[in-house]
Amino acid sequence: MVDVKTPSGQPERLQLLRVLGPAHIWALGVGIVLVGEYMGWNFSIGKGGMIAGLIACWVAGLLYTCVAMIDSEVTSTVAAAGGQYAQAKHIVGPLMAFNVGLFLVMTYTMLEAANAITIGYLLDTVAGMQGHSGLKQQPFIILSIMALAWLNYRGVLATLTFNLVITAIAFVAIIALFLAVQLGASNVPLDFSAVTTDPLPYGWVGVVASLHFGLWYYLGIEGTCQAAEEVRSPARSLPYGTMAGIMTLLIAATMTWYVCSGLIPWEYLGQAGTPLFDAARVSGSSTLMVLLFVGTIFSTLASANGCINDASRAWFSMGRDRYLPSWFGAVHPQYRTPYRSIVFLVPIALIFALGAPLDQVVTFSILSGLLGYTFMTFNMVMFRNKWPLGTIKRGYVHPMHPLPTFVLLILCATAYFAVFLGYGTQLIAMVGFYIIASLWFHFRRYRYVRRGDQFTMPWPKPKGY
Amino acid sequence: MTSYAFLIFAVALLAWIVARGIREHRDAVALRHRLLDEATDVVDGARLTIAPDQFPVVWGHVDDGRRIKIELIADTMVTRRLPQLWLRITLIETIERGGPTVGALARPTGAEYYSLVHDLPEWMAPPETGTSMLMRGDGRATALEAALLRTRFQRLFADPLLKEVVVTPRATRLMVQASEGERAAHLFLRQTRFPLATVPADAIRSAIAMAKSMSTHLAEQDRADTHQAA
Repeated sequence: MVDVKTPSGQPERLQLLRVLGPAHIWALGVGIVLVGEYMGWNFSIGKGGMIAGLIACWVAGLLYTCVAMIDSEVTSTVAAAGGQYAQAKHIVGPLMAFNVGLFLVMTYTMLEAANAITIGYLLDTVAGMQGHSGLKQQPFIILSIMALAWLNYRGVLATLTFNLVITAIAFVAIIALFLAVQLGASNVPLDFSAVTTDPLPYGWVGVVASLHFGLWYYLGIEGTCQAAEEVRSPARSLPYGTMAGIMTLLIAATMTWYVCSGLIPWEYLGQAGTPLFDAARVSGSSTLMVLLFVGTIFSTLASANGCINDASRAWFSMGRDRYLPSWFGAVHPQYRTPYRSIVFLVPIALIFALGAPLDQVVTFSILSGLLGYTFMTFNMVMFRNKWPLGTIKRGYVHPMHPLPTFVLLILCATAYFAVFLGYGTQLIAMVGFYIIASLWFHFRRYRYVRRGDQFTMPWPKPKGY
Repeated sequence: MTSYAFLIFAVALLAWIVARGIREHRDAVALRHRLLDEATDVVDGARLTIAPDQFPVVWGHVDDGRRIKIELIADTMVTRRLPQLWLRITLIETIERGGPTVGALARPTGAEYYSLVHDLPEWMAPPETGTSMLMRGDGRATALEAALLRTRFQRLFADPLLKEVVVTPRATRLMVQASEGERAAHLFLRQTRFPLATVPADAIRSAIAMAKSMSTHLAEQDRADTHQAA
């Protein structure tokens, strides 16, 4: 510890400037998911064409509306927060909680890897445009992951200005591109002839297949559904905040689709690494190109930073609960960060970022997220059955139960089928991984779990027990 | 020409962000250092130090001469929850008491790395407070002692700001919520920023009063036990 002088006089009162209003908070809530507009979503167009990409975007919006409704109800009762992981501990049991913890870690780690790949790809593209083709992407991928992991390890304070600059640029870039193209600033006019000449190149199966990548627009939006825990009641802000976020993303996603589909032939768009940046290139405007370059870099870095934070904390929590070796439950004595979890997950992110193509890494992330959404369906049914309305205090009760649950289950099943159509091997590999991990947990790890600590809510005995 | 212009723009933007980042980081750390400035007026003989995580720590004495330690702990370990700033008060007894070690923790998640309750071996029936509670001890509490402590904890935890209370033969420790992290800063870049300049003196006084009342209750209990034994 460092000794400092004790102030002798009356301490000077400091006032922090209240910069952020409700609109900022709403916008920032969406900010973490905004990266989905900058990359990954366009693979849905490759799966089924332009129309399929738009349908996937809207159907995925419906899926996430169900997720938000269900998640808000359960989160408003589990006061201790912790998201689906805490919900699984209280409502289903340790094996489910272990799996949900893994889903979270894998979703975020794969998303982090996808962000790093995008940064490498973008720098390679820009270098090529400047006449330095053949840039090695790997050093930039490694540098991005290592630098952000170091920031997370140190718990470095980013500044409010920095936050706002990043968000503003990432948002403004999309809107500027949309407006510029609408006002005729593009060298190439918008061309939607493929909508009539080749509306569904792979038929309706293509529409189903495209749902897989349609989820990418919104992946992680449920993370904004945070419990304002401890004292403030989360009751009303949870569903409204998340719904507002989904509506914003629906509009942004449709705008993104409109500009990109109008400027870039769907056959190319369906496999582009950075669709918005590519649209800016096609427009021929240097200003737009710079803006979209900066927007892509900022949104991917911000997203990767959040992913490292969330994945390491989920891993840390599992270590604390003895679902994993308790060694992972350590906190850095100086920086107060889960440093062992952060360091452990770095090579995993690197392996995927360096060894797998973007669409496959995105698929792994989406699959883990999808497994988490599927868990929500039967978690909700169990929750309502075990603790019917009126037995425990709920901050928010979602309407029309069980309709949202059934809709979510049907959409999840459709999305699995969609993944199977294009990435059957990855689907089997991922499910196989979770089965092996579950067997390890059941037969080897469960004996170390602090079973008494699992259920801490003062809820009445569940119905039927 | 375009290449050079782009390069100059990129370097200038990066330099501005780095410079701004360093400056605002320094400002944020300086703000952190002053969070317990008002505590120096609350306790006697206050000595303020800075912990490695850049949060201040105040050592001092309460009016009856017992030593007290006032700390702040930033908790960012629970996923999908805003960061919490905990005010931790440790009141150190002059003479070691004979009682057991018992603690209670409100709204446990398992991720409370700062908590002593998780490390205590014996599981005890928690007080009914309307929220999730964890109560554990070292196994030395009699049924009567446990019941009395439970009643006492129940009263204390009526305050929703209280997170943890632990009594040991050497000290009484409690943690209360001092602040909650700013939602926007946390959601977007997972940053920990608390919207307060200093922890108010009244909040510190209130926490110290709670610790003293708990300690006094235990001392009275000790005296009653000694009297009964005699």
